[in-house]
Amino acid sequence: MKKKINVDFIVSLIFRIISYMTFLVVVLIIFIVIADGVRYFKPSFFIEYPKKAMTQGGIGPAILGSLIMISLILLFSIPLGLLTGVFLSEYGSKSFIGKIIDISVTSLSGVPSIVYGLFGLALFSITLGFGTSILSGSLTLTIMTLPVIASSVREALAALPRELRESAYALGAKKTETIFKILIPAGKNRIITAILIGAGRVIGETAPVLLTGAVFYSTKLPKSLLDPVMTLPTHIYFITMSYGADAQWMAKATSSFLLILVLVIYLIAFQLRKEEKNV
Amino acid sequence: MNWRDVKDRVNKTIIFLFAFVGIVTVISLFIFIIKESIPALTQVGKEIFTSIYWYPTYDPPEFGMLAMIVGSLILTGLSSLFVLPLGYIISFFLYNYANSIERRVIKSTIDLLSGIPSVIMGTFLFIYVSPIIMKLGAWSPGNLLTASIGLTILSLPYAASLMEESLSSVDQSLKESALALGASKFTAGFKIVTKAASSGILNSVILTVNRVIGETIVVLMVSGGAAIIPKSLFDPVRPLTAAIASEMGEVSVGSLHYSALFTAGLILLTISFILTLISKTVIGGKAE
Repeated sequence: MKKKINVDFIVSLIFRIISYMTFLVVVLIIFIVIADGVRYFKPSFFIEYPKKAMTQGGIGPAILGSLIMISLILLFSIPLGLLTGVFLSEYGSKSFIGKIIDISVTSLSGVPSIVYGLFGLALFSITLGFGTSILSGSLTLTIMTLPVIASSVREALAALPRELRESAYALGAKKTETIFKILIPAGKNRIITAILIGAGRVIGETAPVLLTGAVFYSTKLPKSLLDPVMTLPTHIYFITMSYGADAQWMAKATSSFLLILVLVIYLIAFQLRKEEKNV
Repeated sequence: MNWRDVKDRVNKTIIFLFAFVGIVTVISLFIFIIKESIPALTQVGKEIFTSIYWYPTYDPPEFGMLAMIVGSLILTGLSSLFVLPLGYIISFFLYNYANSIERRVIKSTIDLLSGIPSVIMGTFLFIYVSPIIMKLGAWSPGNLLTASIGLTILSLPYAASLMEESLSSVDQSLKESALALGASKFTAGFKIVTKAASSGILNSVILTVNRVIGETIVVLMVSGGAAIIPKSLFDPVRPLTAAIASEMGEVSVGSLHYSALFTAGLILLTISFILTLISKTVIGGKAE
């Protein structure tokens, strides 16, 4: 008996130490990235163009580019992900076609981001002739976001009690009326959480945008959706890889800003999820 | 048929049409990647998979991807060696020993970690970690070790949270019966619950490995980029993903080099597709 307690004591001690250390490393990384970049923040940093080989100026166009991209992506991927999720949950993954859609969405979730980049390049940029542009980049990232949103929406709807559907039918509601007027409003919080997490992930995506939509440095703002654009993650990448120590401050500051942005999105999402659990 | 019926039909059709996009996407994904790979596959042939000489810009160019395939595999293997045990230890701790505050804090921190964009992790490693590794003996800022550290941190949230989920999904009474029979918490968790959760844990392993092998930006930034087969932890490597991302900007569309990079993508796509299918069957098996 005594020996068993000892095993537990030792194992729990070792595992606890390892877990705490990992926790500290994660917190430290987040802290260093944010703190070491925040000190370069000033109003002009968020508005100006980069100047003098990235040693001065700001990231205005990259912020704008990322905002345009994320808005377009959400515009495309919310209806797409939502309706795919609705289909998977309400029209059955039991039918043959349902099973295929189910497998397709799952497969998409495992495809490496760089392969999406290749696909976007071949389909949107070259075959459809959109070139390296905001549109190509957004469409490519929309496809990447589809499985994230669709599977969460599906789970959100599947978690709703059956009585909800049955009461609606008993009152004479049609199936799609039930879906759009009862089920989606009832699962609203979880669906918004899913969309936020999808947005948080996609705003930091770099590889596919490098191939389909990004330009390293541009002296003018994009005039149409067919122009390429600067984005925050690709900007960080280019500066870190192609510029020397003089430009490093901009990589740090941009990383800090992007990380804060992503963390805020995530924290809102977690908060919503928590509220959902408490109800 | 009244107006509401018509609306119901229309809505249903719209839902079906949108859901169909998923299928169309998967099919066209394969069609496009394969189509663009064909020139390289037919003109270079099996040399792609057997030669280690990747000199796409020389005259005559060489398109051997063996060093990069091996690079991808070594990186994935090494990172998995770090992240899988670490993920299991953390999930086991959270499941078995952690009190509710520890659980909440550690879990949400790891969830947050999954949001850190890989380009930020790459920059972090490049600026703060690479100099340390170079002092330890690496001769280039990018090397196998730094890249594996990056991949480990990036994939940890997947490993830990998926494994924790599969441990928690095991019926609580199983653990309680084991404890009632006098087993220690460790034995109950390790021998009973882990065994019962084995398909879920295997699934976590597959999904984590899949995530690691496809990761691009971190390896592009800190793996060093030399297409050689690494002999030590401090040697640079060039995995497939990094080759695609760094070279695609410079090739001319339709050239053999362009096609060869799509072949690299095809290799990655095939691996991820197989892993996803295995994972799907594993879950399916559990449900039955």
